[in-house]
Amino acid sequence: MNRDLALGTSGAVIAGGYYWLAATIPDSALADAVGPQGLPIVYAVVLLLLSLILVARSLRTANLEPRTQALGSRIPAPGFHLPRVLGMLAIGVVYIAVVPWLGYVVSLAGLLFAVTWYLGGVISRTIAIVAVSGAIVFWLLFVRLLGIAHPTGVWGQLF
Amino acid sequence: MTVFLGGSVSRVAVLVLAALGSACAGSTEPRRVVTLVTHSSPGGGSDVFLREMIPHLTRVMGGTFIVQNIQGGSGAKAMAAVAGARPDGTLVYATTPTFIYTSLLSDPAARYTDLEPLVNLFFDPEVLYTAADSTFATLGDVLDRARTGRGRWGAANPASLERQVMERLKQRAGVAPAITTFEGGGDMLINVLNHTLDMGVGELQEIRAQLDAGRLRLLAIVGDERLPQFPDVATLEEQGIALAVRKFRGLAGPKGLPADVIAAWEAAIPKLLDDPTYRQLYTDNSLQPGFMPHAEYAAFMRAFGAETEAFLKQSGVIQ
Amino acid sequence: MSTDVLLLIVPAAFGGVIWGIFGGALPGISPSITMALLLPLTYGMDPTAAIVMLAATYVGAEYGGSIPAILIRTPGTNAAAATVVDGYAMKEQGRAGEALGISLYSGFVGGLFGLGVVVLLAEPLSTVALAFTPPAYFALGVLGLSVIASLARESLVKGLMAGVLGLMIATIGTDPVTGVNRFTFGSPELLSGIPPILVMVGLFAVGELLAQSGEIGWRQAVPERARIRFPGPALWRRIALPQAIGSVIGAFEGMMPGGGGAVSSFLAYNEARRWSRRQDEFGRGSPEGIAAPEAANNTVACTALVPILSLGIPSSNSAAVLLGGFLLHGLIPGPMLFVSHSDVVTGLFAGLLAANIAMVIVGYLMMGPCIWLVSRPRPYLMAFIYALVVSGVYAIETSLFHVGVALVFGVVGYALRYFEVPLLPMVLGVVLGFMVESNYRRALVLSGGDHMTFLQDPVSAAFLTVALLFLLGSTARHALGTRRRRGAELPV
Repeated sequence: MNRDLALGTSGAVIAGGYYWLAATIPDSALADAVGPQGLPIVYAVVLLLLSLILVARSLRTANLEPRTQALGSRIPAPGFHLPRVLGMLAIGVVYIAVVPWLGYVVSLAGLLFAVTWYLGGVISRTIAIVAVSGAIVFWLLFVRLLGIAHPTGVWGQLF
Repeated sequence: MTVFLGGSVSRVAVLVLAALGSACAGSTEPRRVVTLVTHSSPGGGSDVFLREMIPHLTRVMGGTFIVQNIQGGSGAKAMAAVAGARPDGTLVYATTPTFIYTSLLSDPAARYTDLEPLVNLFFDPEVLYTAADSTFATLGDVLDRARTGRGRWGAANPASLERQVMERLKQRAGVAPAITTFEGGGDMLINVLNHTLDMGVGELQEIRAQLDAGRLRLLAIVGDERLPQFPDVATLEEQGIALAVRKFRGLAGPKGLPADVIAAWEAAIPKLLDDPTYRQLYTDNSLQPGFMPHAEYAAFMRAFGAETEAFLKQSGVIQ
Repeated sequence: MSTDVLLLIVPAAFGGVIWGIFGGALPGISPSITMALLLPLTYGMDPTAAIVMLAATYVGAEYGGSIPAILIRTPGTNAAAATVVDGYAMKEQGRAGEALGISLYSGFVGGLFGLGVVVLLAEPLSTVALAFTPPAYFALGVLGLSVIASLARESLVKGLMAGVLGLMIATIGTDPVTGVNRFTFGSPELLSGIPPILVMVGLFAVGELLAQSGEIGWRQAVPERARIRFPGPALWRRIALPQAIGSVIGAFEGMMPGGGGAVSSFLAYNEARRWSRRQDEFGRGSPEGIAAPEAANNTVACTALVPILSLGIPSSNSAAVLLGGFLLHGLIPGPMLFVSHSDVVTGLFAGLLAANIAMVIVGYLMMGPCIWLVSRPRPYLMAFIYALVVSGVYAIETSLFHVGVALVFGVVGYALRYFEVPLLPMVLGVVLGFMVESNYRRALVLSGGDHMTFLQDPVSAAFLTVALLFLLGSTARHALGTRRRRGAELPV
């Protein structure tokens, strides 16, 4: 399946889902003529039309000049690389999950370490040192200097 | 948002929510320091109000007071933080009608009913106004226009006390003007000044600069009594329309505040409001002193909440 | 002005600028957050120095936002989104220093122009803000959206899809007319909608991290010379026109409440491209593509003072914090300020001049270290960008939920890259969606449902005409381009 076809199909699905959610927005006695559902419904219809144009066009060009659509993209076909991308994403998700418990500095050091290791492919003492000192620099910057209350985690209760 | 995304991502969202729910915001302030929590950002209405009050409050009550801005979720995060705090009087929340509206309009972790109203301090007088160079000299003129032609009235925010005032005024005066809402008072003020709107409603404080420069005309006070700064402007009741609101500014704490903490605030606030230097400041800021002790404030809050809920349900904003 | 006042103002301006560049450069920390973080510190200061410091922070932040936009393809502020395109392209070509130099110099030019406008014309220009009725705002939003047609380079359909998706994202939150919740699923975190900076950081920074982690060959970071090149005479002449365009657009945008830096940057970028003799270079590292938006957003940082000083009405979040600063010091901005506290006003003007000079000095000194930082080995660089994103995004409302939202938009950004959908139309949709929808409906409520109101309002009619011309022009260009391209090689 070529990419435009996939994009057009996903676009149509999104338009459908969004339309359904928009249509269920409750009516209000304070509503104007357009209403809270008005423009969302228009957006859904426009997206659906654009998606259909894309699908139609991709089906036509797919017969004439197969695969030219994908040549311009710098991201190769999914499959081999998707796991790497998902891994990168997972590091962020794990960070969000652990930061309330482990606190900002520890979690961030973990994130720095994990990403450097994941992308560099080697574990070394340097990575660990950079990760820990990097996390401390971030802490100084965001928590001490800017005064942003990043989670302290369990450490906040200990000290 | 999950609309746009497949299953793996909604799982992410669930994880995020789970992480969020488990994050408990515990205060680790040392004792004898009272933290005044506001949902407004530094420089916002309640923030400026608290920061200006602190030096005077310190003089009256003793101890140390600090302001903590817990923004986000239109007050939802601040409410959750206060509701979850130890009820020892070290953490109090600066209340405005916003926290009631947010409780009713969304599904926050803690609602206004999960907090203990402590005392009320002030009321923000709400006024009806028009441009000084408009053709409307009185509220009657504006109502006539709404009766005969197309009236155009403005309120600062879509679901707010101001909107409620305009909708109720429309009902009670028996007219059918178009009522529009804006993204805040300044935005609406411009539309009154350029005659897009016949009339706007807002806090006196917001329009003070334009009023002093003679570019606006007050039409009515939406409160129980006239304002000492503007003795000539009649209230809505005096003009024959039974409508008054009280936009409160007070304090609340976690449920189960000890009696001595409540008593300390009940004793301190009347003294604070009588303090001559502070009186000068709050009069300049167009605030109306409105002390209410704990019991009265709790009853007031219940009534305010019930009335707001009735309005929002009646107009179909919530089910 | 006496010397002891200057002795207060100049350090305040420098301090504010340093703080501003720093905050602006951190993705997620918007100019208004940077200013708000500073506000409690100014409480005990001399009123004039405090106001100068806050205004200088705004100036610094608008420049600071372009640093990560150029170096790591992540706008630090909303208004730097348009700088990403050509700034990052130049960085990829090993011209990061030059790009930063153009941004700094254009910001300086824009800032001075804006300051001149404020000093000479603050009072008469306050009428500009008053000319903006709901139909006019709607038309301004439409004008902004029409830029999508020219941002969509290869495929108009995909560009429009991205734009509509952006508009859809902008509908999340409290409905602007009735106050009912739309697409919030009961979450208070979504009541006030998704902040555009979250979408930008997600699409650009997180999306880029994901895309790069999936690439096979690790391209080595282009070695940078940590020497900053300011524009030479030839380049100077070349970017003069885009700077002028940016400054004029920025001057007007700053004065309109609700306009703000982001809209002006996009419009300036678009106009600079239209009037350029080297249109084909745009999007591939054109110095003009940096000069126009950066001149525009720094002009806004100054002219945003017009409505606040002359009307007492803040035109943006940043201006609202500045208003808070005035109020904290017992000053009520508005028509009477020029009369009652003219010393504060003159002090502020002097401070802004100092701030613009400080911006050049501080900005110049910071470039070397910044370029050094982004020339570290890839895995380290990407780890630190990731850390910067999760830390900065959290700061918007100290919310982990927002960090999650940024990751979600990272996935969206990855998907858009995969499908070769341009990112900027989506950003534009998110930035303008609320303004377009709320003012469209507001205008109709006021007119009783009569659409003629958009043509009867002179400002609205003018904007809509220009937008229509844009669209026709871009569509014609697209049609011609497609015909020319047919049979030839695919565009890069």
